[in-house]
Amino acid sequence: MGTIYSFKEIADDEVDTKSEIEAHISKGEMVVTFNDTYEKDVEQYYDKLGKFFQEYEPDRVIKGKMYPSSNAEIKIYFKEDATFSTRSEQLKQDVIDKYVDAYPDLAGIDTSLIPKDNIDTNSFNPVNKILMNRVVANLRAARIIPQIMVLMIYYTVYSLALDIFAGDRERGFFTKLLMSPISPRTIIWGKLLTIEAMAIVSSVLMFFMMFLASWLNFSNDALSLLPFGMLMLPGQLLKIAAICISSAMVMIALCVWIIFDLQKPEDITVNLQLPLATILIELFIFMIRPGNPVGIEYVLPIHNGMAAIYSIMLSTDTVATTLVTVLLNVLYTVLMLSQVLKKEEF
Amino acid sequence: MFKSVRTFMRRAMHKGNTFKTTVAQGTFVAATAFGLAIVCMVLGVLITMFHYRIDQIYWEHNSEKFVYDGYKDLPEEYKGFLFVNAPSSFPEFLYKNNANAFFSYKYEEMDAPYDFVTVGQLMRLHNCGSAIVFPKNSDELLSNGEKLEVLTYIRTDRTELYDANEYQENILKLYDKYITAENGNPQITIKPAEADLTGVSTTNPLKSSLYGFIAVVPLIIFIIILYTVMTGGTNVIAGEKERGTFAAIILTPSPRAAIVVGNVLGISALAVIPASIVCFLAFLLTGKFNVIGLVIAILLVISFAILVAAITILISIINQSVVSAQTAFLPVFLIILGIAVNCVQKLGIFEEFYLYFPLYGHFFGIGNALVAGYNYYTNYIPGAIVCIVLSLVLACLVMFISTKLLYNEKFMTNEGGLSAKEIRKSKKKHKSLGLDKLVNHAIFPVAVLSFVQLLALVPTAITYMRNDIYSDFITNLKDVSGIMDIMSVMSEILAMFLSSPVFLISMAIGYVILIAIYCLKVRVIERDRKPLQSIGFTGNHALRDYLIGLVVGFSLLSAVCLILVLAGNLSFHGIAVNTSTIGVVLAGIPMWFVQGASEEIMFRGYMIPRLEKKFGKIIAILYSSFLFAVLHGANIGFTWLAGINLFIIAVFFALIYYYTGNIWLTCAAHTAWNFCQGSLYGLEVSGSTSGVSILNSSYSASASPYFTGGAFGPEGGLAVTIVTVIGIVIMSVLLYKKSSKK
Amino acid sequence: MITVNNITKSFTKDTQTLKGVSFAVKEGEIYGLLGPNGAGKTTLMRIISTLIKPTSGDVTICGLDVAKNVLEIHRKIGFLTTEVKLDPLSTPDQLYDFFAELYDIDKSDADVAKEKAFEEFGIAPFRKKRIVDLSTGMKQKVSIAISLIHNPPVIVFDEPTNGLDILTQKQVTDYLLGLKDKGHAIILSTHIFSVAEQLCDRIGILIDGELKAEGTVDELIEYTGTKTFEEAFFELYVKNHKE
Repeated sequence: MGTIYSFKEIADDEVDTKSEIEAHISKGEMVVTFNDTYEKDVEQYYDKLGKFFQEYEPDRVIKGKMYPSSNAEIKIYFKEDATFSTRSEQLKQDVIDKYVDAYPDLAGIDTSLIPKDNIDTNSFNPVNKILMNRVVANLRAARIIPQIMVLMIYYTVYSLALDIFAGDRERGFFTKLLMSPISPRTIIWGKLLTIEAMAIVSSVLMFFMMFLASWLNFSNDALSLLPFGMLMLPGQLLKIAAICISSAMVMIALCVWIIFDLQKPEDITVNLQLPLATILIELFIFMIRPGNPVGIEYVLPIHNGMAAIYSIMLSTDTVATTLVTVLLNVLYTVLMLSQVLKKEEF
Repeated sequence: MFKSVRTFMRRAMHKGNTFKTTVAQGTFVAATAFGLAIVCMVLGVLITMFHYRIDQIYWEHNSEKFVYDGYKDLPEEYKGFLFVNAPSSFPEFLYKNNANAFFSYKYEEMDAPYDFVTVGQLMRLHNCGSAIVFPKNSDELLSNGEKLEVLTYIRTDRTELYDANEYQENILKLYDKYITAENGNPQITIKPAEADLTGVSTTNPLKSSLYGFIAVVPLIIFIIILYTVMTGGTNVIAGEKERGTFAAIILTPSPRAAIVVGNVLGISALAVIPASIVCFLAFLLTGKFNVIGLVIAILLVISFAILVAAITILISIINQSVVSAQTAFLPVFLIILGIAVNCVQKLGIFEEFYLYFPLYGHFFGIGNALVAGYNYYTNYIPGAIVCIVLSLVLACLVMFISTKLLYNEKFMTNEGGLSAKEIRKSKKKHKSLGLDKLVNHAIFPVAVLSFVQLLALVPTAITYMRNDIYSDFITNLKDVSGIMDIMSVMSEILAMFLSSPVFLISMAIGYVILIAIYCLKVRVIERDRKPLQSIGFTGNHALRDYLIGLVVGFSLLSAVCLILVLAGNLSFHGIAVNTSTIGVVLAGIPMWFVQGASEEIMFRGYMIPRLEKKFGKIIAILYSSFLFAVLHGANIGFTWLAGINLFIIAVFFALIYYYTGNIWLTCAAHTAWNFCQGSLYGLEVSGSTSGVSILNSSYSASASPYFTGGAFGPEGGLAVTIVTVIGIVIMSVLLYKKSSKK
Repeated sequence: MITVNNITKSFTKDTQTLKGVSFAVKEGEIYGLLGPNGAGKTTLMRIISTLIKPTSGDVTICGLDVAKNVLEIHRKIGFLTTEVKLDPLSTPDQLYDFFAELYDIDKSDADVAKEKAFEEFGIAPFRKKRIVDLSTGMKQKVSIAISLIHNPPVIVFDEPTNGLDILTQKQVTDYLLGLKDKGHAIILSTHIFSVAEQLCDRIGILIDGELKAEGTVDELIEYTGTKTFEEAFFELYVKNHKE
């Protein structure tokens, strides 16, 4: 799968001056110009080449300026910034270079005297194609998927916690539950596991949707957030699943801790929504951060989920990454819940 | 009117004011963790910046430099290059170019070039991260002057190996030239034209220092407004409804419009204040002191806040509690988030009309206004003004709708009245055509079946990952040139899967899951305590019926085969199974059992009683049989004759179902039919062949596909038609006798 | 069955909500806690039903200490309030089944008991309606039915008639009397005289966190030297309440 380009032919005199070219450039277009005598120049070049090969003898010393050269020129104009440097390179590789290579066949130039290539690399190599797409896709997707997943999980978790814990407490239903012969620990863990199940379902769906979005991305622009071909190995998927599950647990425990620390519903709502803002901010930072997460990042709750999935998608994680994240999250859950359970009354 | 608006505004600002809330310990911990995270990320950036890149390796040749970034950072197990089936001139080429000084490499030999699994194993064995695979007979090809088709591979588990791919291609390019030279030709790069990349800086370029303002500042403002409006807006009306205090407000003589407008303005005011402060700070920091720009930016901020607040208040009115309001807000949240992300990406290159469009126009406009325009868009004012006006108009429209909604009692209070379910139920008393039921019955089996089959593919795909069957498959893929080839390749895949015990067992489990899903649907949605009975597994003589069914299925299919043999179309050549393939047959047995049961449940046990309840017996039988035929339509070799056959087979089974009152018999018959067809007699089962069966059979050369069914198997042929029609006649007689007995 | 032994409770360091309360309730007896708002009735009720822990003193129910065998005590207590504390979107059917499971009651036994309870309380016609769609009286009946699902020997009832209409009030009081006859020990708190007079065998007057007097209606009248129960109460209040 390659990028889709759309081309527009413009007349010669429309791109004479620098400002005319600039007008096109500023609109986000790239301008490709061939010199006036392109076709003749190329023909002449192949002619010279043919003669050169005919007359060549292996032991002859040839000075530099005797190598045939071409007067044909192609110029690609683009806006000078990071985005377009990538795009123009892609254009050159995908289209222009291939055109130049195919030109002799298209124009019917005789190339019989010119020795052909000896090696045809990857003329049909679907495995390689899939892997290359996968690398690019995974690298780019790693900048958006972990954060979106954590965001979605937190949104699910806090909305549900707001109703299942705070809501029940407000309505007095929690008192009724406490009066039953079930210990408060069981009640809280039972509710926690419910929210956990919902969070897992929503994150699985989310991930599947992203995966589909990647494979349905036919235009595959250089700037796509989810380029074509995202592929995760089963091992990676399992690790991500474990991290999501443990992250959800930490988030639920955090919400429960906050809920039982406060009394007024308005307070609870505001407090629970604060991590939403922090996750949002981190989302945008992750989009542009270079490099791998620093070790300490795996220790911080909520953030470690993002950092861990990020490094797993980049395939730069170690055994310690997943292990530390998951175990610490479980530890935090237990700690926070024990704080809640220590309370005298709920 | 204005006084009321002011009152509500003040109230909303107070209610939504988050500065007076108590902070829980947990929030404090979360905030600290966040702060530390930011610090770490910044540290990470600094560390990356100062990390000197001494990690490249490169080659220089004829002033061309091939760089492999990040090579030195790779772990040891990935540093090697593997060369498979290298031609005899290759080691010399490497030696002459002093490759040893740059990277380590190993040689190996292998048979099938597309066998990427073995390549992977070899790479792991030799601690290589990438491999170049030459064809087996490279030397021969080279001496004949033919092209070598070379493949490159990298190991899947590290993304840094992307650059290895380019490096490999460069090695091969060099080697290409080397071979050319060896052949007595000069090594020159053929360059008919070189494409020259020229970056053009545009007039009024944005100083890179200001880039942050057009990206970061609007983003911060968006986040502030989104967050504040969401927390305040959902609390204000929905929260009051939940607590029961909204009724008191509705009872006052204040016009509904005042309630809406007051709340919207109040919530937006809460959001606008911090956002404007950010704007002002940015204004000071840009150093341009573009006062008009500041005014425009603040107007944009206000209009954005009002628009989002209006939408939030609308959502708040529609919902009865804070939680449901927040859930309903989620799509809005995601859309605005997506727009913000999109804008960040499009910063340098957005088309002009975006400036006039709400939301996009806000984002670009704020940045533009602060830096007094850049690039093409030096005149940002018209766009900004149109955007402001449009968004205010939209906000007024939304507020108008909200006001109208407040007159509807559904949205005024929280409790009482009929629940939505009861309203729906009363509406249902009118006769509806039931078309939606027909569609449901058509879609549900397909959806569940696809889901389950996809699930079953997963373990199979995983076990095959390390298997070298793939290499043959890919080699065959190369020669695919048309639809017929694709079809035959697909049937190859199917055959491959069907002869894998893993696949068969996964399919069996998948069908069990399918039955479970049906049971779940009956139990949960129809609230039926006895789901298994409801889908057809009732009756007092289950075992007897089942055994009879097995006999019936076996005899029916054997009758078909007998007809085919007598007609000279089919012949058997003895036992085809041996100790190694018996596993496949045995694994198939549980699969056939549950597969038969599932199809019977789907089309007879579950579908017919429910269709009958709404549409009557005849339509129930006809429609379910129709769906049964259509479901197999996607199978290979499906012809119109096959469709008709499947239809009448389904009718036949439906009649048996009515006669016995349950699906035990039909399940067994279905199972026995499929088992005999596929695993016993070695024929195709509705298009799929497993290739492994107990008996060896083949069609004679003179067999007519109309009779035998061709690629679809006997079910597509007239032999089955004959047998089934006889069956239907018998069943109809039996049913008639049974009903006249009553 | 219920023995309250010198209970004190302080929520903050300088105030004491309960200053040493002791009394006992026997089987087949209804004991009433009468007192003005703020006297500490609700706190005392919550301590007896294990929702709060006392600062000092102990409560024994059926021989079990409230502070130690919390979960077992839950099997022996039914705690009722007039605030309906039910899940708004569930139906009475679902809630009954849910609590039956929590109390470990066999499904078949629970079904039988459920039919009986629904019959008795008249819940049957709206058993499949959501709680949010029921009127207050119906909600209260459901709440009572559920709280007594495990047939507890001890019943703790905080403000039995608050906010109920007359008909429902009568139903509730009749039901409580019926339970007393069956041998349950009932302790209720109220600030309404008629309820106390009508229902309770013995009454404890709680003023400012202390049990100022205890006894039957007649005993209290005699003790204060007044003619009606109301006057007796006001007499005690004026004598004991410090501003």
